[in-house]
Amino acid sequence: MRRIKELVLNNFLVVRAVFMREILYWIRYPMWFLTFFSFPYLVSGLFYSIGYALSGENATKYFSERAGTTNVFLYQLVGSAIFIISILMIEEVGYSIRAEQLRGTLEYNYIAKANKIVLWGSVVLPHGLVSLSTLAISLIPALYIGLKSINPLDLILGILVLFIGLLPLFGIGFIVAALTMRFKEPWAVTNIIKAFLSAFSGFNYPITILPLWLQYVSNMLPTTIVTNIIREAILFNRKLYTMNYQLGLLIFMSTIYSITAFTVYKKWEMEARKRGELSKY
Amino acid sequence: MRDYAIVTKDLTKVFITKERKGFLKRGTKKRIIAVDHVNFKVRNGEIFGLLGPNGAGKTTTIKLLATLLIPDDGEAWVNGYHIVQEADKVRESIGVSLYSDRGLYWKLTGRENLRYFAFLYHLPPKVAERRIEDLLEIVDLKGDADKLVEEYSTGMKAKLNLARALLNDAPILMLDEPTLGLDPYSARRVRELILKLRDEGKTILLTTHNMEEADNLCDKIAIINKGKIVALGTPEDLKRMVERQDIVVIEAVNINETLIKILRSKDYVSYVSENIKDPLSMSGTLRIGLNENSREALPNLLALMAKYKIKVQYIKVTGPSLEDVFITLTKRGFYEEDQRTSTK
Repeated sequence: MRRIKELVLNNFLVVRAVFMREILYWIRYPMWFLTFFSFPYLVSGLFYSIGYALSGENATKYFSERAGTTNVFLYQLVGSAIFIISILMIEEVGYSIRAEQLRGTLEYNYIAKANKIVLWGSVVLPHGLVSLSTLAISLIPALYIGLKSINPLDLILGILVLFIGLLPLFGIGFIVAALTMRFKEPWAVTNIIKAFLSAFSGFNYPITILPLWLQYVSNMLPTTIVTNIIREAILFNRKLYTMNYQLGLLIFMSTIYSITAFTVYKKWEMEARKRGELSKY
Repeated sequence: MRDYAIVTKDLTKVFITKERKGFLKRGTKKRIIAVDHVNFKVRNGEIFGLLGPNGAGKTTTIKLLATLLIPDDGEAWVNGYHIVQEADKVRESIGVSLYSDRGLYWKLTGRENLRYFAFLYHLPPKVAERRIEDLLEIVDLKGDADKLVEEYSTGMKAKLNLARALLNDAPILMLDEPTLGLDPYSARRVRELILKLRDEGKTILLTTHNMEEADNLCDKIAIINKGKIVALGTPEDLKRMVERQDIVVIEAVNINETLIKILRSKDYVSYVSENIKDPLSMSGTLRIGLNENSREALPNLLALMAKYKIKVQYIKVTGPSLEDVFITLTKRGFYEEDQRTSTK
């Protein structure tokens, strides 16, 4: 029992260390907050304008028929918010190990006593928390304007779902991060993943407009599931407990992606130690 | 084994590198033996130096012992633990400083950096704060502890690196070039600290390519060249390996190849090692090993300097140093990787 308590406390110290480090970095590079506040509105505006350019005054009408809601702007805004948060999660986690390598801190983190899975996995907390809370703050005015009555509990639950949805993205990002211990090019891989998720997650249009086979692919993406759940809750007032299947799928994906990520990490950590890649930058 | 903090047995590391040959041509793979069947033992509580020029394999040896690399052959034990099979135990037994000015979070303060790593070493917050305060005092950084590391000088970063290595109060310290890039005052402070740590019972493995540092600090030295240990012993033992001979050290400007060639051809000269510090003025140090008594050779040497318009700034006759041991054993100048060097 004492050993378990010690283990928990030690790992908590590691999580706390990473949390504080990341939060301090966020605060000392404050322009990111501007991105969070503005991006959902800018991306929504972009898609709105594209739609208008393509279909003219009937754009909203056509879109509403396909999306099943008349509140097109809120539909866009929710999608854009999940889009930016997902992209940032992939990017930040994907670059995390490479950033340590470039700074020369990877080896020092590596030889410390901390459990490496806890150490690298802890990155998800500060990133998730900062991006979710900032986005929530930035979205509240729009949500109030878009929906006359919004239950704060629904909003909190929505954010919780989004956080669960970030876990598989963390897994995907971490697979990239682990591979970059050897291949050193997270940018190329994360850009492809980001483009893929952007196109097929239904952030800004319903995936029903895609060919059937592509809809199957789309439904396997965690981002599609999260977007669906949150839209259902916010736009169609569906209660989260009625979406057990989708939530379960999300948790399943989180587990699978995380296990895959850490298996890949373990393999490439050994390779990196054999080849002397930990210190190469 | 119990008396030894570190034991290596035929420790070997091979790297495969690719030589690039232009835009579209495929590079050829090259096998580099960075550490070649290295054997040494470090006693508990001693300062053991790995001395060698750049690229000799010193840092690779430290990285192998710090579990950052896996050896291709051979074995090693640190604090009695096997570096591959018991890597976690090894990590708990060591404090490591690898780069004097890298490996820190630039957007965190010195104190925040130490706090971060203290938590990674599982130090409870109160213990960590006390330890950080003590270490900041020891490395003379208390006044700058709350500045961002990006505002630190190289010397301050080196000190912070050293403080980090001491965070977990490990019995064994591995310091890679701990005084590299430091001003003379800071370097002296770091050396004093290393000696103090030895007196407190720590075992210290350090790498250096500074002869004087190795001579003054280390209880035992392994001279390493091209991945192999060429000599091992106390500084005095090593110096005794060189035949009794006089060494003339000349600091001069306008050192040139012709003079070096002439010097090498002289019977009374055993070897010439040249360390050019400023290629523009060709100023630097000539280290000339003599085969005969310096009283007889010195007038000839000075005459040669005058003939080839070498502006001598300083001259001294000395006994063999570790540099001479290195030159004698390896038949190459110590600064060959950095500078043009010629030995007879």
